[in-house]
Amino acid sequence: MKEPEEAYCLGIESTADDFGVGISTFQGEILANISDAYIPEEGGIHPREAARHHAEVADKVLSEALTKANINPKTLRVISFAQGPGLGPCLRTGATVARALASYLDVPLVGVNHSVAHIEIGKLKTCTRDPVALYVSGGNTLVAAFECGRYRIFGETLDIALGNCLDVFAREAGLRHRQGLPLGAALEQLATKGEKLVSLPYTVKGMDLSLSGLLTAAVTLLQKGKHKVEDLCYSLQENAFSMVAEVTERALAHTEKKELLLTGGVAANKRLQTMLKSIAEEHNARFNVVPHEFATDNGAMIAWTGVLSYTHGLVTPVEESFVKLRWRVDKVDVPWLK
Amino acid sequence: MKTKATVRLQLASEKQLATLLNALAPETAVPATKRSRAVIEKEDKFLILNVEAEDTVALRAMLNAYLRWISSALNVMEVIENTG
Amino acid sequence: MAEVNSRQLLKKGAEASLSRAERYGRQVVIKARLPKKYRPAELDTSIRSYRTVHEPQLMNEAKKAGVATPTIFLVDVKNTAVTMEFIEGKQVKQLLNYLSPSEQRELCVRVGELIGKLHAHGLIHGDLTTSNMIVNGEGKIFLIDFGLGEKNMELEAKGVDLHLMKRALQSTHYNLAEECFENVMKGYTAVVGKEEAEKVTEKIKEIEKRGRYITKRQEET
Repeated sequence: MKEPEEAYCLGIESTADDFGVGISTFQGEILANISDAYIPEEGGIHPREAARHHAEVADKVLSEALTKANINPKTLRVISFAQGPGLGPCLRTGATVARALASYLDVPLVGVNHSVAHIEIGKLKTCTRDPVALYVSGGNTLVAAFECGRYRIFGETLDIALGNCLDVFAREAGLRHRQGLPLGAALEQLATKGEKLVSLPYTVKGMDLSLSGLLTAAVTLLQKGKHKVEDLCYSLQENAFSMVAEVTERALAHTEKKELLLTGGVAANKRLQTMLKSIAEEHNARFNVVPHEFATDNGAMIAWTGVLSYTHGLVTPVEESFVKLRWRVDKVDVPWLK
Repeated sequence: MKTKATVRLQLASEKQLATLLNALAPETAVPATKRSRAVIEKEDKFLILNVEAEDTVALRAMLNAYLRWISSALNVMEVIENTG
Repeated sequence: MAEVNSRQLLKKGAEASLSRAERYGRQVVIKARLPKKYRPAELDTSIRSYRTVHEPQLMNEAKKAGVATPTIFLVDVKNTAVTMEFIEGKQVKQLLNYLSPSEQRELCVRVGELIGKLHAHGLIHGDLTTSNMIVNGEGKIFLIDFGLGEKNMELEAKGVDLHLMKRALQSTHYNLAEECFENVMKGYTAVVGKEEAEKVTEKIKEIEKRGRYITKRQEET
């Protein structure tokens, strides 16, 4: 039976500092994608504070999304939510809201893997079919490609995530998160003014990379004050991105796939884009970047992956919808891919 | 010091109550920490939330979390009723 | 030079291109690390030179530890190229899926023994994958690609090395990965001893738990 045109999935994202609600049609048209970010006054993300924020804004974000999509919530066919990986308190808040919606509307619930969702929204929005995907954000750094029923991991960080590395350094350098200008973007601006490449650790280990040594060394040099902060931002980016690029190139050579997709919050970085484009060209692969609106954590990606899951027979019984803090992408079946 | 708290919430409808019980059940089944635990029951139109904790700090944290979840679940139900 | 013309490209990998040629009357492989346009020239040169110099050193050390590696003939730092012995054989990656279960087990145990020998001598391979292991006609296993390796006795380095082996098995031999890794650890244990192997196993578990937002991870509810 063909799904009628008015079949919608509403997706809830709350794995870290963003609470998002997205609405997608079963054909992949995104009708709404509303987010509200928790911005800490000082320091990094605090899970409990972020979770409180999410609980407080849930109804407002939901209401805006429904208004934007201009649909009656009673016509929703399925509710999806980011079940993991992520921060416990944040995940639990999103999950509770999702269960409440599914239960109240009496529709099925689908738990979605947040990392898979980043890849799927990138593919949807760039018309990519079978890419090597580089997913880089504040909490994740991984290179994945589809092989035999699942996304397999061809490279990842052994310690901290790329976005986290950049954010921590930015904060140490006195930059502050402001609405409209995330820390990473502020760092990127400074880095473009850097001229001198300062020697920093470069740690690629097999298919994986390590960023904590690089971060520590950069912060130490910053505190010593012998280098211009612009030069350090530039050098940090060049080292970190080169490492990420190296493991990505390796995956591209290994899998021989002909598409490279850059997704996740750090995807907006122009310098990273340039590096990856160069690699794609070298391997005759088509290079695509997820559009800005869908780069950071968002509800639309959860909604769309909810559609893919639900239309391929995956549902999550409410009583089994526990959050999964460390849910790896290679533990998820993706029956919509062959 | 073992601490304990009970919250009795009167809900406007059976549906609201049933929804809350469903929404919170997985969280009570798999608690985030060993320092506290919560049990949720139904008594007529009331939702009974029992929280036990190792100390008052843990008790407060757990109570806050549950009350917040209950509040946001009720709020989104209200949005559903008021939209469309 | 006639010799240069006789080069035959074997593989253009992500990191280096491998060509086969005849030198000094033998079959050799020339591994050339090519410039990477995506990273700054300074950084690129230093990475390529470091690996070019380092890899042959580690390969020689590995031999001393009792692990077969191709013999190095020439290190050309200026052109970041290394000329080494050509090993006629098949990669473990190519073999593994076609072996009988008992042959698989035996091969993995032997791989584990080699890793154990490296670690016991303070050598970290840095890129343990089934593509970097070649079995020759007599069944001898050669380890190659030491470019990401290091000399390091620390538990952390050993743990990461084996963790990478496990990850490589998971991404290329997903159906066999678990059993293969168990057998690798059996061979490893036989060489380094039970006590050391247990310590390394614990370390691997710890490494696997790392990742997202480490510092704040403990806070819950």
